[in-house]
Amino acid sequence: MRPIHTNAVIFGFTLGTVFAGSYYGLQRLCRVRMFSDTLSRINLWLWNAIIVAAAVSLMLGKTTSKEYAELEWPIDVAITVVWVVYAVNFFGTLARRREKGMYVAIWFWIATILTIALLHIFNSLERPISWMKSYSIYAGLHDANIQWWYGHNAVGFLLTTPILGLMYYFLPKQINRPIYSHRLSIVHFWSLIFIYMWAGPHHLIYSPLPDWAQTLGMTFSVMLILPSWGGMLNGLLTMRGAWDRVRTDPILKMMAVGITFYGMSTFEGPMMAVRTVNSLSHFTNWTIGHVHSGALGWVALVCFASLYYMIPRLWHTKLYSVRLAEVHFWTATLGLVIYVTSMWISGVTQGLMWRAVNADGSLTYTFIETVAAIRVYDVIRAVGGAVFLSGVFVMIYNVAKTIQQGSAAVPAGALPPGAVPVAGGR
Amino acid sequence: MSGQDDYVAELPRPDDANRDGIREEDNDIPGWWWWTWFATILFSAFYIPYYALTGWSQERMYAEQVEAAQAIAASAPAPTANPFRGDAAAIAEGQQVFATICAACHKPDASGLVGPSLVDPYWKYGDSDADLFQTVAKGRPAGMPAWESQLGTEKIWKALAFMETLPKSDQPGIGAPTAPGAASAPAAAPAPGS
Repeated sequence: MRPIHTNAVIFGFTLGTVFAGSYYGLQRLCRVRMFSDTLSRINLWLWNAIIVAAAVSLMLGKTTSKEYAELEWPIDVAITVVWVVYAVNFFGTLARRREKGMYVAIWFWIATILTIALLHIFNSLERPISWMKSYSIYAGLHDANIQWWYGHNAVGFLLTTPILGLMYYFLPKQINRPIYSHRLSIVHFWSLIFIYMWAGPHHLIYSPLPDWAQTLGMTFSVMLILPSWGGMLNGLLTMRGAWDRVRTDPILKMMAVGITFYGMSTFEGPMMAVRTVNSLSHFTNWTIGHVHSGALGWVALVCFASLYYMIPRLWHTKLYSVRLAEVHFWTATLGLVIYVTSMWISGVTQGLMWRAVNADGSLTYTFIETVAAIRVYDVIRAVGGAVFLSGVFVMIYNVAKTIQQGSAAVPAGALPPGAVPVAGGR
Repeated sequence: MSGQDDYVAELPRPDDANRDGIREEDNDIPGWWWWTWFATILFSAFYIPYYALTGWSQERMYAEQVEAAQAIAASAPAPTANPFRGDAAAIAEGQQVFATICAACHKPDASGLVGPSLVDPYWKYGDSDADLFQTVAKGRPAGMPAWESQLGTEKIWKALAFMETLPKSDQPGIGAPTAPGAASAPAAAPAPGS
């Protein structure tokens, strides 16, 4: 069940939205149509086929057992094909662009394309022994280290950089204000992608991984705080002077809360990477809370905002109901807060109970006692998740209605020829 | 913007680009951003050699913690008589422990399942308080695990105090010797444990 959940969230929802958002933004930032519509279609259909194959194969128990890379080798090969298609299409469009510079959103998408290619290929190197079974070429500690180099950078380059790209494109479009600082975007882009690469071993603190590698992972995580915050600052400072609009516009509200949660979880993560904190937080629900404040708070909210921006424009209409978007914003935020706080309390409770010892040196609590103690937080977490999910259903309804009212004017899914409302002539 | 290829001519200054109408200001990066970042780098620059050179390692932390735990264990010798015998509150707690831990193998009525009966007249490893404590705390070869690290001294004594209150059975249960003289069970056992 868990791999299905993580694959659906990361590769289905997030990457699907990133494909859509980057295709949308790239064409407008380059003032040119995508390099090849055929490649775009291959990207769309093959990717969705992969998601279906992932769901089916995981339910059948076909897994490489590598976290966030569970899919078996034929699907890995298909992912590689899609990624090459996406890259060719992306860089082909870039090469033909009618705009001098490359806007910062494009840099972040480029970083995503290059890094994910590297990560996916090297983490998934495996020897097939039948059509649905393979063995990784790495063993033991090497496997663990490569795995978390991949896993941590998947967070960096699937859940951070492409979403920053979405933020850098859709935020100024929606708020109609200039990005706060060009030089901040340069500095935080390069520092982020350089430092991110090294932080993977913080997932293996207090493990057989050599101490020096653990230390490296920890310190690079700490040094990553401010580069991550650069994106948050640029986002929030772009909103300065327009907070009255942020108060009334659900898209901007989602951006604002999303960026805030980005700042929060990129501070929390490095703290949890610090050895001393990690000895308390590791293996507890705190980690679950952290991941969801990033995934629900940052990734999902910015993705929702991007979808609310794109979809009405793609179908040449207005959003069916701003009120429902508002409802979505509040359910998402409320669900998020309930979820994350319950996991914090639960995680710290677990961590403290596990390490508690009696005066005679024996453990105070049996494992089952710690499970019983956090049960109430699991219930609260389920409530928070349900509230969050209910907002997604509201969005689906809203989007469906929007497409319905727009589809009369323009065939569904079709971009108008030229794709770009060209502002300054050619 | 005329040809397709003039983008190579020069890199635009940030304020003269069109970019789908997105403008960028070029405000200074806040000073605190730089200083905090440098502080994290400085922290790392000190932390790495400090960790590497002072001999601080997870092996040493582990060794120290084990040593400390052993010192505590050694300084608190196990009592030779059950300190909770007849203590109603302790027996109630012991019942909890028995139900969650012991009952799985010894059956809720202690008549034996995987592990031997605890209410029949036979004891494989002696029936004195010290022997019984030893059995639960350190385990026995035939499959009895050591519970000391998980339960601690107190809970073991409480569980034993509860066990004494269980109704006894005359029938040799599971684990009772099949031939006289086997194991250490006395032929005519006294009421066990009390």
